[in-house]
Amino acid sequence: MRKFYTLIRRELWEHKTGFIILPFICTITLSLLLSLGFLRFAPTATDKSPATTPQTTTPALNNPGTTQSQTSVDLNQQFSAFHDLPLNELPPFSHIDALKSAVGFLEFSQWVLAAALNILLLIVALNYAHRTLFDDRKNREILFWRSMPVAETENLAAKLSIIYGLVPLMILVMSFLGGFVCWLAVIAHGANDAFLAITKLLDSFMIYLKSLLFLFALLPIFAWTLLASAYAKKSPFLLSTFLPIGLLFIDRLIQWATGINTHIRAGVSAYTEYLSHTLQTINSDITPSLLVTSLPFIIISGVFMAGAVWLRNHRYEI
Amino acid sequence: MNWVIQGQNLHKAYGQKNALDGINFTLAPGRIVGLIGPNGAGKTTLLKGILGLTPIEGELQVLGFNPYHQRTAMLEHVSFIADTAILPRWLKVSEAITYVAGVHRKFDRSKALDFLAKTQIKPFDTIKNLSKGMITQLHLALIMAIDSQLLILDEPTLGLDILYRKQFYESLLNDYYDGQKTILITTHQVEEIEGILTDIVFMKQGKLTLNVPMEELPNRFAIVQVEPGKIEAARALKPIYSRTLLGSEFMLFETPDFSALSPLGRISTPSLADLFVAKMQNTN
Repeated sequence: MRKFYTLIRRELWEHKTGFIILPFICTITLSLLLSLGFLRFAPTATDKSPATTPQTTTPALNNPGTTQSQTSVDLNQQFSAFHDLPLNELPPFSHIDALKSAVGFLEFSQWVLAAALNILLLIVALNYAHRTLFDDRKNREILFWRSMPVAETENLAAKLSIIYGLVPLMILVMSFLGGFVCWLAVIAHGANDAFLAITKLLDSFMIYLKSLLFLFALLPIFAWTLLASAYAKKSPFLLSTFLPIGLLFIDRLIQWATGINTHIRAGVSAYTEYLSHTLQTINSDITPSLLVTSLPFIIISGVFMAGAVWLRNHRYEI
Repeated sequence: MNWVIQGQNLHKAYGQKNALDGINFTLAPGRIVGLIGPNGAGKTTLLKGILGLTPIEGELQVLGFNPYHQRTAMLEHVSFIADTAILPRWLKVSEAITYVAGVHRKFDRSKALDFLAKTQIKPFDTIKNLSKGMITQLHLALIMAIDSQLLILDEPTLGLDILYRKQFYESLLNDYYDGQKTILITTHQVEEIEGILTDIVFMKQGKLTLNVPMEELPNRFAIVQVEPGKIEAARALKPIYSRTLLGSEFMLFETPDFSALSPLGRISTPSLADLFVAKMQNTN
């Protein structure tokens, strides 16, 4: 266990910029921008009107127990004046709704932060998966790593733990942190529902779960990328991208010329359907059936990862 | 077990070229062996085979392990420096120590720190900011702090200046070698390791051309500074190598008959460099 913990630390030392510093900067920047936006555009206590128009409020404001601080009409007037736009030309901006209450603002902030962190960390994780079994061979650092009693299976497991452990964890921590910064803005603003709004920070756990499931659905892509990283001699990016495209092209060609279906396109199509289904599921109702539909892709991912371990152990000469 | 490495009929080919050509090789515990050969002789291939980094044909056992199939278990008892200055550039010194301490049960952190205390290296230095000599010192500190039975060094001082090279071998002898451990070194700088070796192994074109303990060298080889007028007589004794230096003729003989050589001139034990050149140029 101590060995595995050390392997995880070693990955963190090497990739702390991508997995920790970058998300942290992104979170702080975004949450400060959101907070400044809120402080600038949200109505102050003196602007508050007691009237409420149910038809124009957001679902968040209709939640039982939520205190409404501003009507959409008042807010739209402020927005219209600020942007110098006639009222009838205002688009139905959701971010206008976000300014209506502390709860709505925190909900919106969490959503923006979650989206940004997911995109950022997905790019970082894909880049990491591409390079992690390639760079040490290219720069010969592998000679040092392989002088230690560490099996390639342990090595790969540590790398997967970074993708499936650290990435969702960072999304949880950073969305919580970002939410907290936004909540401080709400407090500074003196919103009535500020203390109720803090419960919105708990949404970070749902964001964490959804991110984890989304990453899980991407397992075949990560496994394939790791295989390409272990195999590539020059560019794992080119290999992982152009080989599937080439295979799809060959599949089409064979089917066109001979009528034989190699099922490559069918497989890719099944996977994209699975991805789309997973995205729908995690945004609505997560059910155990997701695991059943994932099974073939878990097996394929396992084959890719076993291939990556085999390549690290056998294929190349140092 | 009275051997550390035992190899029988080791063979490895890259395409048409034989890197290892039926080598038989046994290494006893407590020895410091110099594996010496020109570029392309097969030294690195043999080391890779011993370290389980490449499969080689034949029977090879290192401390009772099959190096290729039991590499991870074997590395609990074997440490190596495969090349100088290949430590990860982004790593900090303290992280390198923590890493080795975390993955190697036989690593002694205090020993590594004691060694580093004698150098200019600081714990928070990043490796990319260290000089090549300092990186080698750090690597050596990490490896010497592992209580392994076998240490393999492949060109450990390549590219280092003479001060670092001297320091390297001194540290190796003073801080690591205890008479029980075995060290296998490959290098081109034969003069520098001559004084520390207990055994010498020469390789040429995938074959071992010499494998003797250093103490046998004076009996196995002799170099004669042949007096003028006795050159033909000396040639008749079939030297394996001869050269002319400052007008004097030097001839090197294997398994010499000292009584026949002594009338020909001054006899001495050849240096490793002379022996190496003689063995590499000898076509027999």
